[in-house]
Amino acid sequence: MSTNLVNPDTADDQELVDRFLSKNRAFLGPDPEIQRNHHVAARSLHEEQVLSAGVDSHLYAEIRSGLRAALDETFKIAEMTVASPAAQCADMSTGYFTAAGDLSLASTRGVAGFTVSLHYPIRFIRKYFEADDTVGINEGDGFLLNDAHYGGIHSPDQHLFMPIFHDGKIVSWCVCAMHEGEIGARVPGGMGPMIESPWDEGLRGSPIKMVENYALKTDLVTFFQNSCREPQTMLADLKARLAACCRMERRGKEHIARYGIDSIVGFLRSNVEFMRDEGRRRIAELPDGTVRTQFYIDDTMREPALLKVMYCFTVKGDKVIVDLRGSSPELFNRPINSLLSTQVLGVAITLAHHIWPDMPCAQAIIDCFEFITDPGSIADCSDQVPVALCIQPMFKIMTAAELAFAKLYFGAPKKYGKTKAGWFNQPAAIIYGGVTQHQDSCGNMCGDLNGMAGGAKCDEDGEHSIAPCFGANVDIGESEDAEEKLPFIYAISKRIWPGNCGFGKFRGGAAYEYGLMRYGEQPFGFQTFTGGSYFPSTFGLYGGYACPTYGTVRVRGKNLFNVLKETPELFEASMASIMNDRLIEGAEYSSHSMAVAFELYPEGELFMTSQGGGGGYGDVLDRDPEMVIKDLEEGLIRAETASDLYGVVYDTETYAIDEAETAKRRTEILKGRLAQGISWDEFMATRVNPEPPPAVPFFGRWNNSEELYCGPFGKALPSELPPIIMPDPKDVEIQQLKSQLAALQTLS
Amino acid sequence: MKRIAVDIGGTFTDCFVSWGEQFIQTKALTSHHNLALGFNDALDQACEILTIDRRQLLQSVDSVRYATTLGTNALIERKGPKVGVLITTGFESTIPISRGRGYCDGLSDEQARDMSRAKRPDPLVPISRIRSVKQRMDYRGKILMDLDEADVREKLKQLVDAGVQALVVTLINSVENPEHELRIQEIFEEEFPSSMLGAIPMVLSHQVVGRKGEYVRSSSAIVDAFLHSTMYFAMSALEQNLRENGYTRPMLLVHNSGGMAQLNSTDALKTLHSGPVAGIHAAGQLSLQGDIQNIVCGDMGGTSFDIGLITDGGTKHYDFNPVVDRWRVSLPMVHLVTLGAGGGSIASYDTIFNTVRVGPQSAGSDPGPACYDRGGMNPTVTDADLLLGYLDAENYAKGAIPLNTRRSYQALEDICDEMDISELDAALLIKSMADSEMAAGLVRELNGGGYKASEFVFLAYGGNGPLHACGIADKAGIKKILAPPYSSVFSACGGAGLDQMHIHEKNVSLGFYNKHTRALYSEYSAFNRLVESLEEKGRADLLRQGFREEDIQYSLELDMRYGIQKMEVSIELENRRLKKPQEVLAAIEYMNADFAKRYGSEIVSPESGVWVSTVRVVSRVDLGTVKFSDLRPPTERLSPPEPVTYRECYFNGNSGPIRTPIYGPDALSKGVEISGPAIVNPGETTYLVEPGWRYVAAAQGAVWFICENDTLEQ
Repeated sequence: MSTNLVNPDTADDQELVDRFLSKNRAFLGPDPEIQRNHHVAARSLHEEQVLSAGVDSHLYAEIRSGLRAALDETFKIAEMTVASPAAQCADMSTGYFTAAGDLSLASTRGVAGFTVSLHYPIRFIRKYFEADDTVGINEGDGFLLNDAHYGGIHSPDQHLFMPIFHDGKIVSWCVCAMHEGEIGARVPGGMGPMIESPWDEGLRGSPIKMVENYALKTDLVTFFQNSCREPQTMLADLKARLAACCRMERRGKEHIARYGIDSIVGFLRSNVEFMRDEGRRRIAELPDGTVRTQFYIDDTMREPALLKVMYCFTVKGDKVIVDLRGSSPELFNRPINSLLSTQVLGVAITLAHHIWPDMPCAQAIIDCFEFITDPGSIADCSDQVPVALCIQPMFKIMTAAELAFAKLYFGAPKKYGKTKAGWFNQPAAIIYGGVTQHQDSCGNMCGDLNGMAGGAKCDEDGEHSIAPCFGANVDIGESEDAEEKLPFIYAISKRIWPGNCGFGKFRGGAAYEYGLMRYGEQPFGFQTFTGGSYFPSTFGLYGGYACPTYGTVRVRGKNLFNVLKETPELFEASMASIMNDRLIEGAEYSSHSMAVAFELYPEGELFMTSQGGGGGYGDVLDRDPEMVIKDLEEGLIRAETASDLYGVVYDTETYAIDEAETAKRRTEILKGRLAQGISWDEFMATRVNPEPPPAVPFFGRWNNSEELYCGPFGKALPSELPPIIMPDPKDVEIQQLKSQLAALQTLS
Repeated sequence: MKRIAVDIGGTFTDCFVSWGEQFIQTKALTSHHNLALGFNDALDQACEILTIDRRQLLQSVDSVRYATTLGTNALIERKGPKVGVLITTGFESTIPISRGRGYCDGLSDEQARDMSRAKRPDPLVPISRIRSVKQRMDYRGKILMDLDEADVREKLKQLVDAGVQALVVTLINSVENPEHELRIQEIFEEEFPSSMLGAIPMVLSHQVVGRKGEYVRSSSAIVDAFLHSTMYFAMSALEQNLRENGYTRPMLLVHNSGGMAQLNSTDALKTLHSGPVAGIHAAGQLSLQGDIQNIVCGDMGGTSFDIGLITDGGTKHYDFNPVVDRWRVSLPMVHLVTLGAGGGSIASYDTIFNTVRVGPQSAGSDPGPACYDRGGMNPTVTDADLLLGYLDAENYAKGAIPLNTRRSYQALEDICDEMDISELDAALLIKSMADSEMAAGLVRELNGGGYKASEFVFLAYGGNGPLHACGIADKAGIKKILAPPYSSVFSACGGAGLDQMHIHEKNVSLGFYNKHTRALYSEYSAFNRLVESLEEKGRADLLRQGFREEDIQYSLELDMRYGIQKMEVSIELENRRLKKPQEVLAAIEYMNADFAKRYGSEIVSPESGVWVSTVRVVSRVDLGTVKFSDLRPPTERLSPPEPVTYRECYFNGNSGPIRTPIYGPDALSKGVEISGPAIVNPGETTYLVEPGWRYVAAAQGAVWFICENDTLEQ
């Protein structure tokens, strides 16, 4: 690393100083030179020699076919042998990388996005460990990583890297990446509202040599097991990753033996360049233009807030500028900050899955993208703040990119994906932790998170809870299997509820609610960490509605199994019925945002939550009345939505549509809209406030302010932001109670 | 042995008649409106060869066996009754949500990963025909909430009023305790007696599937209910046809488990994919009789390439959650992987990687490849094969489909323009890419099971199998290929060798090694009682069909997994009863070895506990099988016959055309040896012998392709 000298006399002096500094590092922390660079590395000498002699794209296609088969084979091995519930639901990926760390090929199935952000740690390992006598990189070595500051997404994900050697030189890397979950954090499952510092995030695996000579190092494995709630899962999954990497390495070497080292090196590099060049070509096809949007994360996970996330996508020639400036400042003691690398990853995943679905998922496809940020913001946080729930802002940029490119492609002659409204974009899962009926300690989540609803398409409705926004063909799992392993029952199992979809000419997919009832007397509890209870998570497109809001609710203080057995008529498997009717005497009913801190729950208490729907597409008044009635009959919407929002007049018994009256009502609604219209000047004069309302804890740029608002902490220029340390909600509550007490005492 | 086996496909009805030492293969067009017509046609062709009449033939055979795609076609075409579902309260959306990933089931990987077009198939049961009932069992079968019978009666009435024609009851954890499902059936009988006209069949999920997993169990029961009436009427008509023609024994249906049973002992679900499975069974018989340890089957047709494995001298592999059409179900089905690669697979320019890609889109048989001249405009693998000189434009499919070479040239224009290459270079690329994709599929299957391709014989059949066999094997690293005898009716041939078989299984959770107590399983009596009860069910099935108790054979299989892992391996417990710890330990050791072989020694994890999740009993009666001749490459070799003609053919790795000899049916004479390049076209199948390969004709029309640099010959 070069360093500025006060008065460097010669280049030799500079080199001396650099050498001194590099040898006297107190800590090999994350390297900004690596972490802030998502671009493809320059060709190595070997790559240059091979490719300058010519690219045999047809031979490379054959190699691609063979190596992809190897990746799919190893993906299957890992998927079938892991113990982590999320990975069992395909929340994982395998991949081959170039020697420099660029992702060349990822497995077809699973969450390819995991491998997209793993060039960072490979570059780190090569830069710092290769020449380090105490570490080194040898054949049969494996490095484990889970700290997002060195790459990857967040600490609950664990990835194993293995170099592939030929004639004593590293020619490639293979990786098995997956969501592990439990990692010994302050809360079960490695993420949750109660994480308030990086040191609450559990084990922070900077790249660690965990494998030597193709075997796991027992002392390190024991340390990892000893530091988390699921030692058996940890061991099983380390073994699964190692087995996958060993197999990938073997297959890689078989391909080298078959095709020759030059062909394999040439293939790995050219694959990266093909993707890079095709990404650039596709951007160049687009008309120049800018799309701006903004999202709000509506909860810090400990308290409600409006945390602004700004997105401005500008296409110019064959480049894209993604401007994230104006986003909320980072929060020092809340887990929803994201690193720049996570934002970059979010754009790549979206392009690969939603915009260019024929393109492989790799960082190379966004090589022509540049990112501008306010360092120290929620979209580009420092290393001092927790990032366990960085998926909150990451999922926002995914939807922002999804919608921005839908608009950028509006007039483009060729579209690769189908235009659609926003996919649901929140990690709406219940994380559990405690002791199971089999006496195993645990802390993890089921596949319920994967049931995100699809956005409405330009020509048809979106799909109900179908797949996470970040990965195709991912499993939600079977409730019977979960009940076999864990001490709860699904009192409500993934049940679609009325009104939980974005309305429009084509509606977004509906999403399910689900409720877990504690079963058994073991200590066991739940938590959630989702936004979208106050401000819509995802948006519609071209007039379509956004995703409705939703919440978490609890029924406590009673063993509901007694109710099921003795007075079953009091129990309806529906969140709305349970909360609206409140039939169980003595039970405590409460509703919350989707961020509920971890607590233990005794037997028979009920914890319920919901996924959100997909965004709608087009004007609700353009929706075919027959489709409205079908939605009504299928319980996707309520009667008032059909009549008041969609303007459909029908017979409430037979559901026969009165077409004339429907047309009339829709005309009235249109007239009503026109009547509400105001001029631009009037809008600016009456609807735009110079400052955020004082009662709203607003974070980020207000209008076009240069300063960023910091909630109750005032405002500051991005370069002068103070550390924002949120008070403990319990302290706030105590203070409020003290104030009330003091007031009462004054009165008395 | 005198026997008839039939494979009723979407286009052809294949017939295989075993008549003593004589084997006859015939084909007729499938008559969809009445399957009996196509069957009779195929049978009459056999009768002509045997110079007997149809009645004489049917009165002489010991059995008539059917494999059929009827159920698969009915699923694809959505031809079935209106099915309604009763499910546990709170689980109303289990079926429409389909575990999320349900939208990908039955799609290619490429289609699956396109989230912008993600779309579930039209449901067999729409949301409007799903009702919930109040009841609940826990994971051990303990009743948490009693069945609300008034609720059941009301919901049944609602569904009947909605016009349902078949009903499925699928309650949570019913495999642990079926009491509520059975009670609902009683209530239904009370409310809507089966003696009444218009009675509605009811399927109980626990009776279709003995395993946990509410979605796959529900979809299995739904598919079963959806196909029941279609299959029943079609199969009954076939049986009636047999009766009218003098056949007096029970008609037998091939099951996708690799066995068969009488019509009255067959669930509709078990007939799906029975044709390809029968083909794999035939491969198993070849393996056993020909002493070929390991076979990888590749059935390449017009739209797909089906892959199956036979290992260790006849062992078949099973899927427990296979996908039928677009539905993931739960039943033990012989493992079969289908790739979207066939003669009709469409080639296109790959803009990303500057090459040609093949499939997964297919021109199918309608309009078919461009050269069929039926309106197809896209270049396909068959078009490439034609341009490369492999196909005889005048005599393709015995002359039934004249091929238009000009259309093939036209179809390739776009690719040629994009890549600035000639049509012949483009055709060579298409051939190479198609072979690569199929080879990758074979290798993926083999490697995934812990096998090496070089240790396998590639059994190539189907219309395009022997045409692409050398190319696929080259890419896969396979050195020996066998194009089997009777390859054009190979699945029917497999049906002739099946046993009468029933499978019964029970979902359990038995800790063979409990890591907490550090104890081995010791409840031998309970285990043995369970096995006895499953054997009893199989015995009852077979006795009902008229077999003698002493002829029944049983095998006991356990699905085992480590600790909290998902992967299960099936092992066979030879003694079928547990008496001592050594037997438990032996089962664990067998599992460890199997795991290590498949996934690597790194993954063996008995320390995390060893659990048995399913106990399965296979009950069978051996009914004899088709005896193949010695199919090994004959030691006595004959010189090639005189070529019928020569054509200029193009091969990858060779610059320019090669004058290639074309041989006729006489090249199938046992012992004929031909070095590639050569083409043998006896009429029904084209055998392409690529450079570097040697052709050796064996008995019964079987053909070996042997890689020239492979010294080992069987």
